[in-house]
Amino acid sequence: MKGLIVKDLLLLKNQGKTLLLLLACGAVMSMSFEPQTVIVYLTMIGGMVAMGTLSYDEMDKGYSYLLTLPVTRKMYVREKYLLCVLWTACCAVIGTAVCTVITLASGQKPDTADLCLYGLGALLGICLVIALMIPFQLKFGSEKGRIVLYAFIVLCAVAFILMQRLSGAKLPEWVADVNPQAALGVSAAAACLLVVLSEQIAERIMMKKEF
Amino acid sequence: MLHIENVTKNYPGFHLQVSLDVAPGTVTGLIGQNGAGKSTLFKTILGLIRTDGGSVTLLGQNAQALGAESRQRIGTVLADAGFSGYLTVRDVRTILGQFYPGFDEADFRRRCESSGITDGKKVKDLSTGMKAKLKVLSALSHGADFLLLDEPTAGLDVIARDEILDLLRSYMEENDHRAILISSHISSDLETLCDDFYMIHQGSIVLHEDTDRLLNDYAVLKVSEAEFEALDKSCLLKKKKEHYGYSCLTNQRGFYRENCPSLVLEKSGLDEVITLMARGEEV
Repeated sequence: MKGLIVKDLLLLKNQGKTLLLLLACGAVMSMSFEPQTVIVYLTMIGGMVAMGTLSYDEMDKGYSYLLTLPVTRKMYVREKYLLCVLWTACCAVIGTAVCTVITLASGQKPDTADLCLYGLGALLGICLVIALMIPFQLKFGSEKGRIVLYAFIVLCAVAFILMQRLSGAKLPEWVADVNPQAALGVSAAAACLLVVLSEQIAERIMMKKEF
Repeated sequence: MLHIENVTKNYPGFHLQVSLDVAPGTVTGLIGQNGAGKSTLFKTILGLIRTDGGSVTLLGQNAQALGAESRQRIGTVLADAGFSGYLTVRDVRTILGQFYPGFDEADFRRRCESSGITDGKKVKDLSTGMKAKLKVLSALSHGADFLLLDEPTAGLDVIARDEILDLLRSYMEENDHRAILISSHISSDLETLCDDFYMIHQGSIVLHEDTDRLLNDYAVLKVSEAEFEALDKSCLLKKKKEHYGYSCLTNQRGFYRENCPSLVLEKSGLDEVITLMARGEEV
């Protein structure tokens, strides 16, 4: 697995200029919007870039070659999840640090707990995207996978809106009283569960796949 | 080293059914037309596709369930796949070092440099020949016991091909137990390298022969229609209609040389054997 991680980190390193450009965009963005925006932005970019390594692997029939190396299919899937989650977590930490610096530079005192909540929230959000995206990409390929994923998200959104309209449902009042830390804890547990479930599905997809 | 027993794979319009053996210490060539099933067979051996029947035993294990440690003993070149084009040659070296405990970094670097494959270049920016060479050098870099080489000399000029063949000969000389299964559409490359050949045609093995026998005993008879009618056909494998009559493939050159000395009998190279086996009719 070490070889796979090194391979992906080298692929990410070779995108250094793009990453720096995106970082600069984030910095500009944080001046125009709330400083917390940079946390969400960097975490999101980090997750997307890490998931992009799947596209690099797929390009030019790369999967075929990778699987002739000392790599098993299960190992490949596990490494991909590990990389995506850890890389996104690193980006969330960097985003939180950048946000803290920006807040300090603007002469305000940063609310560390609040910023950490933002960072963790962004990480969990992207973990959900990772949990959805990787099985889709492995099953349908990068291009088709993305289309199928977008279709899936739109379908979910439409279903949600329809349900709301049909039932006239509103968020229950108790939602407003929920402790944010507790909600985050529950969300974290749910996200972990989803990532594990998604990894199991991705393994099954990979085991059946032919190259 | 490799034992394939009646392995089958079905695609719409294509059926692969192959038995094949590669013994330690031998270089086995796999020849056949484009689309004959060579790459499919390589993918089957490497577990990249599932089989519909039969078994593939590689390094004494079921090839479909080969673990990462066993894969360290194999070096592979695939005709149309390799490392991501966005990695540099230096990156490839680093990655190989992480994957293979037996990776000889200094030797790999030296061979790359002598081939003009510079460290900082991205794989996608290398010429076709350099890419092919990098693939072969990667397969040879970690002292594998078995090499699976699908069209390793594709895109290389004659000098570069010769260098690759020399590398493969040296690889075999270093250890008696090593083996290679190699496919190539350039028959002259294989004639000088392989100990035996399998010819695959429309998914089936139609010929298995030792190189010495193939080059010494196989021959092409060029006969008129009248000569063909009078010919003892018991030792003919295939015939093909030509403007002058028939060209016929035999694996008993001595028989026709002794019994039909007046006939035109030419030693066949691999190309003639492939052509007649693939395009010829049963006698």
